[in-house]
Amino acid sequence: MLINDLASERWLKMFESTYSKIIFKKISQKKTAKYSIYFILALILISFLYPIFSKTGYDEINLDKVLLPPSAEHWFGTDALGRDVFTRVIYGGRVSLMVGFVSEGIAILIGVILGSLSGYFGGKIDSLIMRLTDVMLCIPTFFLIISATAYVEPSIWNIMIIIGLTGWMSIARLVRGEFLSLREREFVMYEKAIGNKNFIIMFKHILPNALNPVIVSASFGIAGAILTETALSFLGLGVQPPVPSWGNILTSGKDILEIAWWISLFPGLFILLSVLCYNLIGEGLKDALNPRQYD
Amino acid sequence: MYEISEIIRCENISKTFIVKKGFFEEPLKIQALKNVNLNINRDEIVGLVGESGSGKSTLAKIILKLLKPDSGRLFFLNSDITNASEKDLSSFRKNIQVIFQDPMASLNPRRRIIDSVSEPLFLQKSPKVSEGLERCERMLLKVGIESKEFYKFPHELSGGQRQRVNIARALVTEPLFIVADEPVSSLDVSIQAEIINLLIDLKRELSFSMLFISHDLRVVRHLSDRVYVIFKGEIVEEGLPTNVFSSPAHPYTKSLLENLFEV
Repeated sequence: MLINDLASERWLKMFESTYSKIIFKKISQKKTAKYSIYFILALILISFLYPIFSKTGYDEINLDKVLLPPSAEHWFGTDALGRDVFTRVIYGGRVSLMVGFVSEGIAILIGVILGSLSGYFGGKIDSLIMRLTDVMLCIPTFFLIISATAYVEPSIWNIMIIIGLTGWMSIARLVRGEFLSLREREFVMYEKAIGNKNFIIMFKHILPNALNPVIVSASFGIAGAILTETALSFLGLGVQPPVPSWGNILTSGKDILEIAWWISLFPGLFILLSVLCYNLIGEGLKDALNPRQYD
Repeated sequence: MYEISEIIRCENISKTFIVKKGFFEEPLKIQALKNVNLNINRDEIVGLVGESGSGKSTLAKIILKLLKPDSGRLFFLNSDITNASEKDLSSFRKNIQVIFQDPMASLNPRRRIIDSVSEPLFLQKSPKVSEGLERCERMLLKVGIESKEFYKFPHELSGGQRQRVNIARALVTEPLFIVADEPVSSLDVSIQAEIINLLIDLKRELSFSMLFISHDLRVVRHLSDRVYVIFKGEIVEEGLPTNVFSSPAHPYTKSLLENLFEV
């Protein structure tokens, strides 16, 4: 009797009063974070939809139209091989967004797993994982990445994996800290007392409560990953031409900056704006997810 | 006379905590429990009284098998579970429940009330989903939570309601034995009385034994069938509440009672 009413009601209730609703409200109150989210969403939409609607390919060479300044036909001008810079920047945006999300995803996966093991079990497991983290933190990340690219073919997937594998340490530390405090809470004791399994307690009960700082850190992490990828591509160690990325478009324009400023300016602007937006989103999330501001 | 069967028995339980450990210094130790003997019978509410720091909660954690005693033995239904592995403890885990002091901290803040309450039921008894949920809902209604609160989060309820939810969660699996670790001390007085009366009503209706830990003598006197007084990790007095509180034998119990009447 009771159940049938409730089962249908359940889905409605799910949306009535949730944390996510509070967080959305908080975020939309903060203008910089709100517009940053709009910008990133627009960038994602454009970079994934543009290739469907546009006929020009990113590697379409047209030697009649070399180094044309921005015009109605070529919004961002053309480069030394007559390729449309706007098209290349949009395709490059795809690379950068993907690198940001995938490599940060890898970093979060590793960081969360190691951090929760370390914080929940403590003792020897904790020391082992934390020493590993310390060692990884000792090596300057960028040089670690550069030396890693010496061993693997510099493709976009390898770059994502390398950036992910070298970026998990701060997340592991954050998660460990959260677990250390949450595992002493009474609801965790309760789950232990009724005989729940450790892994269920860790990932079903503690982890959802430990995710706030991870989400904030992920937002900053994506910005960092985009910058790293750009820097690698600029140095020629990242995404290889003719596949465009913001970094290698910048490189291709750096020698002819005086005659064709538009080749470097536009990818540079996009790097600046997207990194700035991710940082502003992170800043906004930091306030919105702060539990002290709920009441 | 029916035969009294013993649910929990503690024999000479001692526990020492190492507070500070240095390479060259003598480790600083605190003895939380000294040779504690305690038993809880079927259908009995046993009160455990003591001031803060007297080892009440340590004893509760040892009985719940969350802490290992340094020495002494713990029996559940006459079988020794002191060194039992988690696997062998499954029947023990199914038959015990716990209500903690802080009703907010003892509910997972990210889970809805109904999910928290159904957690032990689905873990331990694994009924059909609809059956299990219905049991949880009946229990929640019984402890006085209205059906519109079932899908809320703990932070949306009041302190008293949260403690009712904790009681529902503890009782929904029909356990043999409940440890209530200061279940009312973080609530204000009028709500304390409501919760105590609720526990008494539920005890009459469903049969379970309970270890009721408190520093409030009035509550313990009102509720329990038998009382232990713990002082600095030692059980100093044991008996019926009327005897213990009308003619206390130990000076500590006397001082507890004097303090009470001053208030």
